[in-house]
Amino acid sequence: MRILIWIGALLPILYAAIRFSADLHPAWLSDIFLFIEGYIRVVLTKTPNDPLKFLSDLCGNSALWLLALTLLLSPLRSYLKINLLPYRRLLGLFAFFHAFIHAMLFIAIDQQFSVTGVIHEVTTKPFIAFGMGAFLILLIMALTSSRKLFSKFKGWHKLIYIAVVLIAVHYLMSHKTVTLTHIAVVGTLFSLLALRLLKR
Amino acid sequence: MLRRTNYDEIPSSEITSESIYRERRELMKLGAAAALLGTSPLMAALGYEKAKSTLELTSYDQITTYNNFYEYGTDKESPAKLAKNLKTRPWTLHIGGEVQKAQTLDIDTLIKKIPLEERIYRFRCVEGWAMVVPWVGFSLSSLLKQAGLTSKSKYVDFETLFDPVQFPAQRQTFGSIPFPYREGLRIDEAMHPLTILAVGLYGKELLPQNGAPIRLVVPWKYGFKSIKSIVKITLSEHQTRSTWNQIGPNEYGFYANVNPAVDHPRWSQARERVLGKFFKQDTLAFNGYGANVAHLYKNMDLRKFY
Repeated sequence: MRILIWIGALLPILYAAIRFSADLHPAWLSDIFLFIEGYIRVVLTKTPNDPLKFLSDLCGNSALWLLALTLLLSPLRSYLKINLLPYRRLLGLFAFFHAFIHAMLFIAIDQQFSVTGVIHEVTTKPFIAFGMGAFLILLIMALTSSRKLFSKFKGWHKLIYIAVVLIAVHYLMSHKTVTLTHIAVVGTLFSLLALRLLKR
Repeated sequence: MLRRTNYDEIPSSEITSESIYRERRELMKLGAAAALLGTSPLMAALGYEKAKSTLELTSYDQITTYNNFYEYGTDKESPAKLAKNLKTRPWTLHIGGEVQKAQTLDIDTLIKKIPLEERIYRFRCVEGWAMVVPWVGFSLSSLLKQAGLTSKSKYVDFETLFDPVQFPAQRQTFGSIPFPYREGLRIDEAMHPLTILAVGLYGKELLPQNGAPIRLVVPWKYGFKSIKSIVKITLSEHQTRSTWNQIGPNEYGFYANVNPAVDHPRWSQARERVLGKFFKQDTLAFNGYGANVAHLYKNMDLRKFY
């Protein structure tokens, strides 16, 4: 199971590596990828047109879905009696890992490590503030996730409810129009929260 | 007479080194050959005046696979996949409203009659990405002069084709924008020599995802002003609301001049991501065309009229 989680959570990184090396693929590899492209809706044979946005979206979305999976484990146990809780920490940390890259792309590449730049963006743009707020919560949770600290900081982990709401708003605001897909994604996140609140 | 139009201001950072210049010459030869062999017998037959520029061109592949065209969906990849079968012939362009002679023009007749020229322009999207495109087209002013302006021709409105059979998103009731897509310019902006109607890029006829068969290009404004697949141009006395301005007036202004000093409410406009490049570069006031157009907005507060 642990290996499965490692592979799954690192798939986006492999995908990014494939996309960024698209021009270097040997012909046989491109042929295989073209074949796959014919069957599933995925791009493998083209370097991203807008590399920074590509990576940022990829990591942001990966963080969101890994977090959703993390949130799924406790309802799985209470409703279906499937106990995967031992893997929750690992999943959560991987969600944080992607959120960390997502945030670092903004801080390091977009804002070039400018502290005043980041503060300016956070204080003038709610969209950025929501994302940064959620990231800080995930950061606190990641830092206090060891067995020893978790027993002390358990209460702090309730902040995840706030983080999910912030992430949902941040996600909706990241698009110029709100589509049914976006609403479905946010709906999924909120139902996961609701499931936990209904039966704890 | 040979007309050379070079509207670039050349910052020293953009002056090309000898070796890159040579490489680029080779690429351009390839490009020219491709253009001759390419999909545009019409333009090959007519010829157009080549432009010179020190700007590094964005590749044809990138320009034609990264598009905002909400008629095909909200993502950047759908247009290139879905637009292939857009019927761009026959195509007519109606020019009406406050003009002396309202007219309906056939696109091929129009292209054959008007001398085409290449314009290498920076293109900056309001979302923060940017490219450099070698358009082929003609100045909008020449067409408007043909129709004849009156004292009441104060604004120019443009409209994209409305055809739910061909444009899947126009059949949607939720999650897109109101159609038909509309844009507008003030008459002095429309008559400015930089403002063109493009019918091609890289020496080939426009592909549908880039706004075939005819689109507007206003290089000092954010890309959404440069409306695609135009069927109607209407001159009027009053300013009408353009599509994005109607959806989010606090986010997308009527003027929408590229302005690094005025942020979008959700993201900074100070810098931009050039397609294919990982690191951002500074955005120029009026997208680098300030020397040509800043006077149009002399007494206006650009923070208010963004």
